[in-house]
Amino acid sequence: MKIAIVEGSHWHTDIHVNAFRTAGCDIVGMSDASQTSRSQLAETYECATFGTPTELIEATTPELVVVLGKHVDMPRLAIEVAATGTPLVLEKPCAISAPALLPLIEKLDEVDGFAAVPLGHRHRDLWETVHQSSATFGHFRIVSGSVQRYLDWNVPWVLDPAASGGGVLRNLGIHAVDAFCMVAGEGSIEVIGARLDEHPDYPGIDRRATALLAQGDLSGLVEVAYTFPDDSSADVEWRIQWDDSYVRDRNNRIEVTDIAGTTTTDRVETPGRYERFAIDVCRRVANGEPPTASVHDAHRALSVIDSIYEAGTTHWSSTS
Amino acid sequence: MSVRVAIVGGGFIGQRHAEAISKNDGLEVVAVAGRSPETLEAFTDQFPVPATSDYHEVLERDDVDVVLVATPHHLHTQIAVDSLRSGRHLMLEKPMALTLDECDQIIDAGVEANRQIMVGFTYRFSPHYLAAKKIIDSGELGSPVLCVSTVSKGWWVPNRRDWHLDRTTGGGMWLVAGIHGLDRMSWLLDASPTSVSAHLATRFHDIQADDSAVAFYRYSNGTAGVVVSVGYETGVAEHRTELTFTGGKVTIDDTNGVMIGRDDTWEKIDHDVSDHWSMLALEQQWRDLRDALVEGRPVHPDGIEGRETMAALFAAERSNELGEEVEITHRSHGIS
Repeated sequence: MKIAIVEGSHWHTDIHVNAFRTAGCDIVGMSDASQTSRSQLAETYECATFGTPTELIEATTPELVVVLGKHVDMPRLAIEVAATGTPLVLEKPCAISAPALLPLIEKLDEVDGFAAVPLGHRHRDLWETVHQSSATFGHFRIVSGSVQRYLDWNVPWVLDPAASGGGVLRNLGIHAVDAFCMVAGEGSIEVIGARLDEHPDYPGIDRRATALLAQGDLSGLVEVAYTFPDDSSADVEWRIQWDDSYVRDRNNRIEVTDIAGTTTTDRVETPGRYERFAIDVCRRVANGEPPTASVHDAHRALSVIDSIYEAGTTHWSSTS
Repeated sequence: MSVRVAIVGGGFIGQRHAEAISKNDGLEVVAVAGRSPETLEAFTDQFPVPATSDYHEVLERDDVDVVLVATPHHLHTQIAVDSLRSGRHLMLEKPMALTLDECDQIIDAGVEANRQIMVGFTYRFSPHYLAAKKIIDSGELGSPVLCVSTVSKGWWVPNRRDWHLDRTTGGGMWLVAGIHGLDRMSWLLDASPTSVSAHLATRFHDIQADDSAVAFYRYSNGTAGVVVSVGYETGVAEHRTELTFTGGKVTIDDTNGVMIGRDDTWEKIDHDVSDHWSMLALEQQWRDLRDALVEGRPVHPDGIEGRETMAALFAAERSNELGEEVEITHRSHGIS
């Protein structure tokens, strides 16, 4: 399958290139608004580069377009791609807020377009564990490295709330909130309470967010942060309590406990989550099936995130 | 070992380049070519190197690594193509060429010969613009919103030549100087112009080219900018770029330097202030080319970027003719 990438200067470009190449795809071109980035991308990935998605699609006729970019620009860029009738992948968080995503959803409805969102956790082995009862509690934690990474990756706009739509809750929290939404199933989600810790050097950028969510008998904790001391690593843990079992997935070690005891599985996910995502997307595009995670799923998670920002108490840290 | 430069076009600009080259280690001028014996004599009085009226002769030399093309604008293309095909890297004065087809011929020649092209957008190397660019790229002012770039100067500068007075030979304020206002705006916004609505006129002088223009550009990153280009009969020079960001404002002025405005306060930014900033910029431009060639990395601004600016300039002229906004399309970097 011929893949093109929009806004290739994003830090996830390498991940998508490797994932789609693993899936047997060819990267036929990239676009980027930045003059500087275009020549670097052409050299790094040995493909043609263009200034806009329209130019990219006209010249390379891709079968699937991966849309990256500043969060504030993502809906506009995706609409430009959708208007050409080309299936697309839209990187998380898809927009700076749930309302900002609505024009894209309308466009996709209008053209009956395909848009998948790479919410990688949906491809974790955790979800293969089978449960016969309803979940009652979930704890979803991503403690990632510092904001310095975004400066090192030459994407300082991530620390500009006007371009990014917020801090760690907007950028990484969508994974955790979407996980809660998956466990909750359909129905509205209530934000019981939240606390946001603002980064002392970047106004409007939360470096830690903790939120208590609920739906019916289910309650859950979302915990995301840019505070892990090791920038090359992260602490990622999903814990879910079902009536009949308790599952913990921490850094690829899955523990399932039920009345019979605990089973522990250490797994190196091969292929990795993004590779699984790429294989899954290619198959679904080829078969005309809907995506595993759609922009509707992203919109739901963004709505919860909007509510957390609205309901949360913000704490202004005094030290870096 | 030095990077050895042959200069084609030994006039005012060629001599400025020779001076900049001579101030840098690891660079040297080895030959000059030019049509006018008087010009060549003036050049060699200052820089004693072999001179010829036929540029092909400097291309036949075996001690030339880079050719600088600083001729009248309408002569750029053939000399640039011949230089690249002879295996030399190219320093090409702006404007790159007078049509996009000619720009493509130059770029193609560079690709086929595996030689690099640097286009002479000197503002990108000036101390005040580099200081501003560093702040902008750090992200501390947030994301760009819009820009106004003004190039306003007296038209009758001492080095004005007949070919500057006719659009068919690459003359007019828009191609001669307004081009700087556009290129530095695109560079600072780090984006490509995608459409333009422009007004060009000849209001001050009896010349066969424009002497005043204003152009509104939309950019690939959702920002927008205005270029003001004026070659007045009498007035006061203004060379100034104003950028608005989500978290503040930057003004860059050839006279007053760089100012950052945020939280209702203006802050003057220290940088290498000098009345001779344009010579410092030219020296830096040559150092960049030298280092890129020695280290084997791509040069900037390259031919694709030069073409991009020309496409945007020509589109503005087209918009003026049609009286409507005109889309701009660009050539890709890399393998097509």
